[in-house]
Parts: sequence; structure tokens; C-alpha cells
Amino acid sequence: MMLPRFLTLALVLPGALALFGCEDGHLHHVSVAPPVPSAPAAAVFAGPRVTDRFPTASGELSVIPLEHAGILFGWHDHAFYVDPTAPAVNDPELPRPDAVLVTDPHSDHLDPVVLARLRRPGTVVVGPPSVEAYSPVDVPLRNGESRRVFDVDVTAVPSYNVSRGPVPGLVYHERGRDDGYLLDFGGLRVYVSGDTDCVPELAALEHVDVAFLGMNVPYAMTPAEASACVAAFHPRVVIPYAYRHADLKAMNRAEMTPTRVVLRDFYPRAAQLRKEAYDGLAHGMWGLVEDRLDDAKRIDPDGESDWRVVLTRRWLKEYQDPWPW
Amino acid sequence: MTPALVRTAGRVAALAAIPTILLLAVSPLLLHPWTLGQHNWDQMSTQREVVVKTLAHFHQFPFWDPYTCGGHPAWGSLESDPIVVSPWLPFYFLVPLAIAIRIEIVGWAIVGAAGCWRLASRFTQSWALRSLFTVVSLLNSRWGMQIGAGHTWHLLYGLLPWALFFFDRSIEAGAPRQRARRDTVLAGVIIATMVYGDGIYPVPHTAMALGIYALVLARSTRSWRPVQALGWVGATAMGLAAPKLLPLSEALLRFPRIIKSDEAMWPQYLYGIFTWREGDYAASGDFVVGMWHEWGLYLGWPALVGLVAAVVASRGPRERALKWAGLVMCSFVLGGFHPLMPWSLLHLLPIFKSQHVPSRWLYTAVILLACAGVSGADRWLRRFAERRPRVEAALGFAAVLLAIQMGTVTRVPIAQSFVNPIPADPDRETPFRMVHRLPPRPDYVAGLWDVATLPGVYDNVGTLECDTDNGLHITHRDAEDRMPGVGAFGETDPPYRGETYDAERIAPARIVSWTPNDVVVQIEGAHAGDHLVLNQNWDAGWSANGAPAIPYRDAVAAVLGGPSATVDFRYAPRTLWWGVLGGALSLAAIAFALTRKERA
Repeated sequence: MMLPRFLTLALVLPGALALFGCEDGHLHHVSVAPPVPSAPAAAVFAGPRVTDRFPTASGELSVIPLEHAGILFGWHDHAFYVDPTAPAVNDPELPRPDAVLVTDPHSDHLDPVVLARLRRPGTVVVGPPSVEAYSPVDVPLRNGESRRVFDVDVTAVPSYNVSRGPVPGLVYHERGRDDGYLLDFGGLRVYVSGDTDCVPELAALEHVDVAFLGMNVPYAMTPAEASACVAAFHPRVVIPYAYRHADLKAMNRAEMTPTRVVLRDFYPRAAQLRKEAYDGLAHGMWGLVEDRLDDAKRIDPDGESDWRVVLTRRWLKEYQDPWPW
Repeated sequence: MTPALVRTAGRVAALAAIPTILLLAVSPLLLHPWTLGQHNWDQMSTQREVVVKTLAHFHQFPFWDPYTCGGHPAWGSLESDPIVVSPWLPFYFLVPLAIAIRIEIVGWAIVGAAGCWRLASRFTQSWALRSLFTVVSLLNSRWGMQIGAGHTWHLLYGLLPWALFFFDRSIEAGAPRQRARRDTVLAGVIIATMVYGDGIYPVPHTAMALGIYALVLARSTRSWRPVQALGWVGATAMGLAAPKLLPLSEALLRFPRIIKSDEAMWPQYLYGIFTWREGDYAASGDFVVGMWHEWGLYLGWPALVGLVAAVVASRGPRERALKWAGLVMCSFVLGGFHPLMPWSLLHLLPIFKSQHVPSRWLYTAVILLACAGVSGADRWLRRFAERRPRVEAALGFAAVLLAIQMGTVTRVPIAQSFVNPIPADPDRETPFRMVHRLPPRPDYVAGLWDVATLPGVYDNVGTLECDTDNGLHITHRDAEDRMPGVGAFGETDPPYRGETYDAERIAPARIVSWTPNDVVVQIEGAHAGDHLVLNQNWDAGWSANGAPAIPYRDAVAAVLGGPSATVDFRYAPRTLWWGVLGGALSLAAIAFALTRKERA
């Protein structure tokens, strides 16, 4: 009689467990696709990520620095992205884009894959015709042309190198190919330079309230050149951006007076990476900690002197050299 | 029922369990044959397409991959050219890529199943036990999740049981010497095949398994024979794989693959790894560093309990050796949460320094322990004497149920991954150009890193961003946010000056003929001493008109001797011919050893 019981058990037990299984309570499902900005614009622009708010005749303009050449403007609950690239915009807590402005087709300003992912029905992509070779553009703007996009007057300002290039005779940014933008938010005139030298068309701008000046060394103005340029067109406020390899201390503040210089962090990933490193340390993930600190150091070398980084590095050293003799 | 009928029914059930789990596991591939996988599959599909395109369209050996990362060695890379020396290569020429990939996956699974059956037959003659061993150790959820995630090197674990089988048979007491020699060679051939297939994890795992098995067995039996055989297997494998190993070593010396590995497996979660019915390869969790496909290995409670009991019941020197090997690997699985943990110490050694995710050892550990368990279960079966056919029949039916139970989990990640449509492009030979990143396509979804490379191979377009090479990888960035070692530029990078250019002047250079390994460039109006640059990453294997090409800001270049020149840039790994010589000598030595007559 033992055998049938054994047989029954052999058949029923695995069958029952196969049907009911063991549910795990420790796992959660995640998508491998990068997240897409999807937060409500009003909530984002009322939140703490906004670094600057500029009053206009018809509401407030909010500014969120993204990364490198990426800027996010919020106005009338519309989100205007400038040169969005990954991984800065792989963030569901950013708002859906209503308009995307692309200044030039280079890879640090235009990521066709990211742009395709950002597009939603109704999103308007504005860019110079040169961008169309890589990504669809809804409103192609040649230098000097203007269009109204969501109550904002957008004017394309020439953005080019005069002589800056890999060898004499070649330039990184040819004249007529790329756009800077002059944006009129209800009377508040905001200029976004893109990668440019201090060209005559830029120096001739008037009544600029806020200027985002790119210092994308070696492809655009150096901080010293940007200082001289500010002295030429006198914006009320200048915010350096795209300054990955520029030493902002080299800006000549005296020359820029009375323009107010506002420094914002356009490389916040370093702080995020360091935060991940500290979290990793708490979980004993030493290798991850070192990777994150090294990545952060590449983006923001100055941050190495932060006491938390110093202490974490000391812990890592002790881990890597555990022998007391 | 007569005993004969019971025995036959049991055998049929036992045999049926293997195709049951196999068909369940790969059913998504068969039901939807025209899809490609996600996650790392773009990389894997690209590597295969590069091989096919280079061989079929350019009639060249795929030494260099110009399509990804700005160009990198293909033959000398850890994970490139995986199908060149492979039984599945002909299928890649005969059928479309998606179908060939399916043939490769199913083919390796069948090879693995046959290997498991043969290996288990070294420890039992029971069909049910051999079937249970195959079901539990080969096509568990780890296999499904790794394949779903695009870790195609995992397929080569299908050769591990064969390596162990031939090795074990080669050291069998009383075995004919000629057969023992042949088995030693076959074990070496199998490991060499793993090397050619880019078995980045299966190779060291198999070597470690054979190593521990041989050492423990040598100690138990007080004989040097296992160690001696191990040496011959290693020498055979390295000799036969020399044409790949030497170029690979050359590339690794330039870009050492040193990966930090501090992942820890907290013991309290060990039960969950085996019993959570979770097939989502991308699932995450508190203790999961990375994703679930590196951790989960679903067996279910019945199989787990049976496995542990059978392992405990096993006796004998070979079983002891298997248990030691399995347990040592289990100790690696616990990871590196302390500097003196086994994995932390092993990770200090060469080769293992290049590995991470120690939970990957678990797959090999299960194969070894289950193999010992087969022997333990066989001891139980022997006690049943005349009732054995009925018990075996019950086990055979249990194997079918287990196959269904496990197969339904194994299939989930494959169904989850293989949803990408195939880019509807034929291979083109239009003028080659490099881009930073391919534009998005509605008919192709990028892989894990958001970087797509496969459509570029079809279109003859190279991409700068990639995840197909060890040294050049999108996650490695320098202060300029570029991958170190990348000298090529994409056409949307500011310094891009064409696919070939005069670095100092604006003298026009043009490509006269282009193939992956051979690019002929003409230039006029240059100055002597100018650098003529080819927009590919430099590697020591590049030559210019027969002389070594020089690196110009990490790109391939030649110094011009006059105003006009025609320069033939060619690529071949520098150590290739030494490797071929080593391989040929090994073949000659093997032929001599196998044909040598025994002295009377």
C-alpha cells in the first residue's frame, strides 16, 4: 500500500506547488525602458527644482537647469525644453514637453532618440533646418526668422564660430547652420546662445533680460570671451551654461558690470552620483561606491574636497587594504 | 499492469519531461518567430550580423567590427564573433537572423540536454533520474532569464555537462587508454569551443568545476591521474583555442577587463532564489543588485527538497568531488560583502578579476550538486528492489510535472524579451559613415542602454555609442564625456571631419574602397608629415601600406611622405598567426596522440 501513497504524493505535491507556487514579496517589477518626463507641469514649476523665477507681464517664468546645454522653461504651465539630452531628461518627475528648442545638430545638443521619446501629440519641435537631417522638426527656423510658439515669440539668432575650429580654415559651427534663440515670454526677453562665438549678431542684441551664455570650451566662447560679450550687449542677468570644460572663475565680473551673473549647477548628476555612493556605502556595496565617486569626479572634480567624499574614500581605502600587517 | 508496461510508461514519461520543459521554455520563440530580443539583445544580434555581413558581403574574416564603438577588434574581443567557430554558423547564412538566433538557442539547449543525460548516465541508469537531472539543472528559470536578457554566453553552459562527462570518463579506472585519450581531447575540444563562442563565464566556471573535481578526486583516490588528465585537457583547450586566445589577450592587455564585484547574497534570501515563481528578468528588489535575472533560479520546493536530500544521501569519491565543487561555488554565490569572503579572495586573481555578479556561480553549482544528487537518489532506488520500476515510473511522471512547473517560469522572460520587430532592411554596402548615435526607428526598439546598433550594420553605418566591446562602452566615460580610447567621431560631433581627412590641412582625402578590414584612401595636396586619418579607433593591428599605422588622437593614421598618396589601411590581429601556429601544432599533437599505437 506504500507505493500508491508514494505515487499520489509524487504526483499531487509538485502539482499543487506548481499551481499555487510561492509568491515573492521582496521583488518589484521595473521597466528597462528609460523613464519619460510625465509629471504635471504646474506641480513641477511650483516645486523645489525651479532655481530661478522671473516675473513677466503675464505670469512668472520658471527655470530649471537640466544638464550641460539643457534648460527647461516653465511658462503658463507650458514646458519649453532647450537641447534636451539623456540622461538628464530620463526623469518622470519632469513635465511633458510642450515645445522643444534645438540649437544645433551636434550630439551634446540633439539626441534624436531622446527627442523621439519626448515627443507627445501636440509637442512642437523648433530647430534650424540642419537638424532635420537627424530628427523631424515641426518649426524649422532659419537665422533671423521668428515664430510664435505657445504665446512665446521665438526668434532665431545666428550662432556660429568665426574662426574656432579643428584646423585653420575649418570651424566647428558654420555660419547659418545653427540657431541661438531670443524668446519673448510676455515681454521678458530671454536669450539662449547655443554654441557660438561672440558674433556681431549677438553683440547687437538689445533689451535682453536674461541671457544663457554657452561656454562650451573648446567649441564656443571661453569665460573671458563671454565676459567681453556681455559687456557688448548688456543683458540684465547672465546665466553661464554648457560650461563643462570652462573655468567660470575666469569670467571678468568687473567687465560685465552692471549685468548680474547668476551661477547655476548645470551638472547636477555629480551630486546624484555621490548620493548613490553614500547609499551604496550604507549597503556595503564598495565597488559601486567607488564607481559612483569616480563618475562624479569626472563631472565635478571640485566636489572631491567635500568631507563626505573624503570620508567615503577613506573607508574604501580601508576596505581595499584590509590586512593589519 | 505488468512490470514491463510500468517500466515503459515510466521511461516514456521521463523522456517526455525533457521536450516538455524545452518546448515550454522556447515556446515564445516558436510562436512568434519574427521577433528579436530586448535588453542586451541588440548587442548580441549586432555581433552575429557583423559576422554574417563581413563574411557574406565583404568576403573577409570578421577581424574588425567597424560598426560599433567607433570600431573595435571583433575577433580579439571577449564578446564578438561568437558564431564564427560554431555549429550554428551555417544557419546564419541559410535563414534570416531571427530564425538563426532561434536555431542557436534551441540547438544549444538540445546539446545541453543531451549532455546532461550523458553525464547523469555516469551515475545512474535510471531514466527518471537522468530526466530529473536534466530538467532541474539545465532549463531552470536562470537559463530563461539569462537568454531573455541577451546573455547569449549562457547558452554555452550546455557544453559544461559534456566537458564533465568526457573528463570523468577519461579518468575512469580500467578505461581503455585509447578511449581515455580521446575523451581527454574531447573535453579540451569542448572547452575550446566555449572559448570560440565567447563563453566569458562558462569557460572559467567549467575550468573551476573540472579543477576542483580533479583535485578532490586525486586526494580521495590517492592518484595523480585526475590532475594529469586535467593538465592535458587544459593544454588541449588552450592549444586549440590559441587563434582566438592570443588576439583576445592582446586586446585585454590594452583594455583590461577589471570589474568591481561586491554584490552580496544575504543567506536569508537564498530560499527565495530557488522558490519564488518570478520570471520577470528585469524585476528588482531590496537584496537584488542589478536585476532578477542574475539571481533567480527557480526550482520550486519539491525539487529543492529532493535535491538537498539526494545530495546528502550521495556517497563515493566522485560524488564527494562533485559536492566539493558545488559547495565551493555556492560559497562564491554569497558574494563579496567582506574582504575575506571566498568570492572576494577569488576576485583578486586574474580572469576572475574580470567577472562580477557572483550569483552566476549558482547555475554551475546546481549542475554539479544535482549530478551528485543523481547518485544519491540512485542509492535510494536500489533499495526498492522489485518495486523499483513502479517508483521509477512515479519519478518519471513527477519529472513531467516538474518540467511543467519549471518550464512555465522559464518561458516568461523569453516571452518578455522577444517582442522587438526586425528592422526591415537588407544589408547595404553604401558608403560607410559614422554617427554618434543612430536616429530612432519606428520598427526597431533600442536595447538596455538606449543604444541601437543593429540597424546600423544593415545600413553600413557605424555608431560611436555602443555596449558591444569590453574596453569601449557607453558606461565608460572620460572627462570629456567620451569613451576613453575612442578616436573616431560621429558626424554630429563638432570635431567630425569625414571618414578620412588630413589632420593638419584641408587637403581633400577620399576613400577609394571600403571593407571592414581594408580601407584604401587617396589624398592630394597635402604636405609631407601630415597625418592622414581614418575615422576608426586605433588598434595595434592596423597597418598602413604594410607598416604599422600610428594612433592620432586614438584614431588610425599614417604620416604622409609627400603631397599625394594612396594609403591602404588594413586590419588583422598582430598575434593571429602565432595563434594559428599554436592551433596547428596542437592539432598535430592531438592527431599524433590519438593515432599512436600502444606498445605491447
